[in-house]
Amino acid sequence: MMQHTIEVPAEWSSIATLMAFTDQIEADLGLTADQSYLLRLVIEEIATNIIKYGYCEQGCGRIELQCCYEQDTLRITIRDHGTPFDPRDHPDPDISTDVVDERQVGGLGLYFVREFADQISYHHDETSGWNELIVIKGP
Amino acid sequence: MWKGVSPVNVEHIDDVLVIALPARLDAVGVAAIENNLKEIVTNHKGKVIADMSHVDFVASLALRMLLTNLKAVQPLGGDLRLAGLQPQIAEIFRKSRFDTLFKIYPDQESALVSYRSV
Repeated sequence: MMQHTIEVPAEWSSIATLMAFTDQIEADLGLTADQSYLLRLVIEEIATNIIKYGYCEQGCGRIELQCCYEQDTLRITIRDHGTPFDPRDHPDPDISTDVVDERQVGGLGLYFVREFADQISYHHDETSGWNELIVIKGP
Repeated sequence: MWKGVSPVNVEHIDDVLVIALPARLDAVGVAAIENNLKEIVTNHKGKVIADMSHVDFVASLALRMLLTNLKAVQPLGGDLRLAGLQPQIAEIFRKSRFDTLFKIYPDQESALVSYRSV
């Protein structure tokens, strides 16, 4: 098993740090193109949500991102200490309309993560206050 | 008109504005170009092609930016057509059904042809 972990402050500049981390580890872990894409989606859509809503942009919390690679399967774990939010509960966006003016884009980010992942689990620990989201993608 | 150095690569081919989008349209990439892009597209008021052949990442923010520009240009009689989507980008468009909102072409040349044939 190969594993990489990074911890960053919950602030906007950390998104670039996490993306750079992805650039660095994708070759090292030998991720497939789909796995790399999902990892970037998790950073772009989940980590930004944690900064914006979980910590309310106060910039005082932490986000931990861990990537484990075993038997061609990527396991992404993202931990934070902000307001609990289970992305699995978020409703799918309404993508039914083909009319440009009526089309909304809210909710697409979490929908992409759910669509690209093979498996998602979430746990909020009442005692410690930590939230843990695990996203799994096979080969 | 945009007065500064343009962060997006723009080319005029006949009456069509061709914009080459950068590789990484994540939050940082979108923030770097979105104001410039909107200004260029709304000032042109006509036929626009976004060449996405170099784009290897888009997420929801990038889709929002593209849709905003499409909504801005269509009432002015123009259009924003997309060209050269890499497989994963095409997948994002398919899953979000954004492929039903935009006219999408395999490459810049076929997008240009689509405008000429109107």
